[in-house]
Amino acid sequence: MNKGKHITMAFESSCDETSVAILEEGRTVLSNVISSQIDIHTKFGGVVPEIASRHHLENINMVVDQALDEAGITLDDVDLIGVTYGPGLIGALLVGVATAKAIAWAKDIPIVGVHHIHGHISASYIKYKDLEPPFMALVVSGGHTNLVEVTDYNQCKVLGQTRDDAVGEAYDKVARVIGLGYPGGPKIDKVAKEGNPNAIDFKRVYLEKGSLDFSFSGLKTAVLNYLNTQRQAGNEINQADVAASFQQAVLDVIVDKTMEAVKTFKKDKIVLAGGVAANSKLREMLEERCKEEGVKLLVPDPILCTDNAAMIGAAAYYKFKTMGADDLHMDATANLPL
Amino acid sequence: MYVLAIETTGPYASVALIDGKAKIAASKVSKELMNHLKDLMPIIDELLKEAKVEKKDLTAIACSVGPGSFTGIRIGVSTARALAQALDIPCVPVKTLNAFIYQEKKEGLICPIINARRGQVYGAIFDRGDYNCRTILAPGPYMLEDVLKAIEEKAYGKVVFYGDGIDAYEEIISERIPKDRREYAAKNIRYQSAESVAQDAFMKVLWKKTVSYDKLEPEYMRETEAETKLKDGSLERERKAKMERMS
Repeated sequence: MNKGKHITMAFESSCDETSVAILEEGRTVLSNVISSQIDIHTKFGGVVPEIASRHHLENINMVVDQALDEAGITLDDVDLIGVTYGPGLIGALLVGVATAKAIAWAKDIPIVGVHHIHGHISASYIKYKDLEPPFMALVVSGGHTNLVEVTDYNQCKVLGQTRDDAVGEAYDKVARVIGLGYPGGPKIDKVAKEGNPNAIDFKRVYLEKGSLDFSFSGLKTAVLNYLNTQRQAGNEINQADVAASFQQAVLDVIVDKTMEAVKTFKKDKIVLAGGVAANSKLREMLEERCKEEGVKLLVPDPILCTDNAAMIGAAAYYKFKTMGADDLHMDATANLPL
Repeated sequence: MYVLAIETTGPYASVALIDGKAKIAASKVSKELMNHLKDLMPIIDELLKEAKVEKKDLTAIACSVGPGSFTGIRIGVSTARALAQALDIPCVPVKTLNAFIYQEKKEGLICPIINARRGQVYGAIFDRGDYNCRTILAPGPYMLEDVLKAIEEKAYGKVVFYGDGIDAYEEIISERIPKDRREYAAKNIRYQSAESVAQDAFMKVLWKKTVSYDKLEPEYMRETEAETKLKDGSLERERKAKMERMS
């Protein structure tokens, strides 16, 4: 407790961000320190798990100190510890889980494991203080593409997910083949602004009728085939047009399916979450469709959309409230189901 | 004084508590193989309860920092660091290969080898004396061949082998080193153990060779494959080949 307020300390280390946050009453962020490794991994063209794990270990204790400092509290004030225990890179996850468990034991603080996607969804509680379930959530990031029906703070049902590549993964791969490099998301988003989204008609993959699942690997192949055909014909390739057309094909499907889910499951709110939520075109398209159909679109600030510990803290707060603490046997799981 | 020692670099996680008289007050080994993250904190909790030692009575946290399983090293080091940080006590880094010196209380030559695959080991050769220990081959990553050569050329007498390198390379070693010059440690004392880590740490605490939690460094002894490939240019070649296959 600090000044009579409940204090949550949270850890996130599932991919290439080491983050520790301190929250007051589960929804107010006192600090949210994020140490990113993006520059380190860029030279390898993507996240290298072993290197990510090593850097998490190097950074984490410093990040803990900084988070406590910025929040102006000590470990003695902490009432609850939350930590991402999956899904993610196992070597990366375990640094966060081991650290969180050790601190929890040393200071007799209850601990809860948080599902990474549950964290992304809970980021909205921080920005929108009055938001309460139920709502629809679209979680899009480098590793995840999920349509999730949120019926309660701790009850989520995955309605649709990718059957192959995550949306961020598809962006990375296409960015690589058209020579934009890593990370693909922001790079394609930027270049696409200069291109014509209707220049090339890449096939929209909707899968079986009624399915809310996604598939992006075919689209990646379609882009490759297009590039090869053009090169063989001796035509010059317009990078901006390819980027814009690819992005349009991806986002058309995502937006359509999201709106379909909202309609089918009768929701009046959509929460956008995950790193790809920063994509300007996705926001623009969703905003337009939500306006047309009278649905409210909620988008947390960019810092809460990337991997960060504050969102884990918000999820931990509500999980602890209804389900209590986990025990010291908590393990990290690379492919933890929601 | 009580020092808590953590060993997670090998197949089993173990923890031990050593008191001010260099006596092992209690020790515990995980029941499950390679389940260190899940098991480590529970066995630390049981250890202190069994020994009737309070958290506030701990003087330092000792940790076996490697070499060994990269994942294991990280679980041990991050746990040790966080415990020290939260309890506001120092850490004691213990080199995994050096801890084998304390595995048995007897004099003579020892050669701990940890399997590093592809014909390689993390290994060392020590000559345990009554009051001191001489290093014959400095702890490091070696081709098994180089360790065996060092034994032939520099180690006079019978050598006792320790570590999971035996399980991987026993046949090769037996072929090279004559029977009267080698011995394989029995299974119950063959692998890394927190009790040995605790004994090594005890001396370090006496000599004030402790560090603050942020200075407890893992000792992987090998750079990552990706870094090696980046340096020798093979990462670039692989990437190009992949792009060609795709187009």
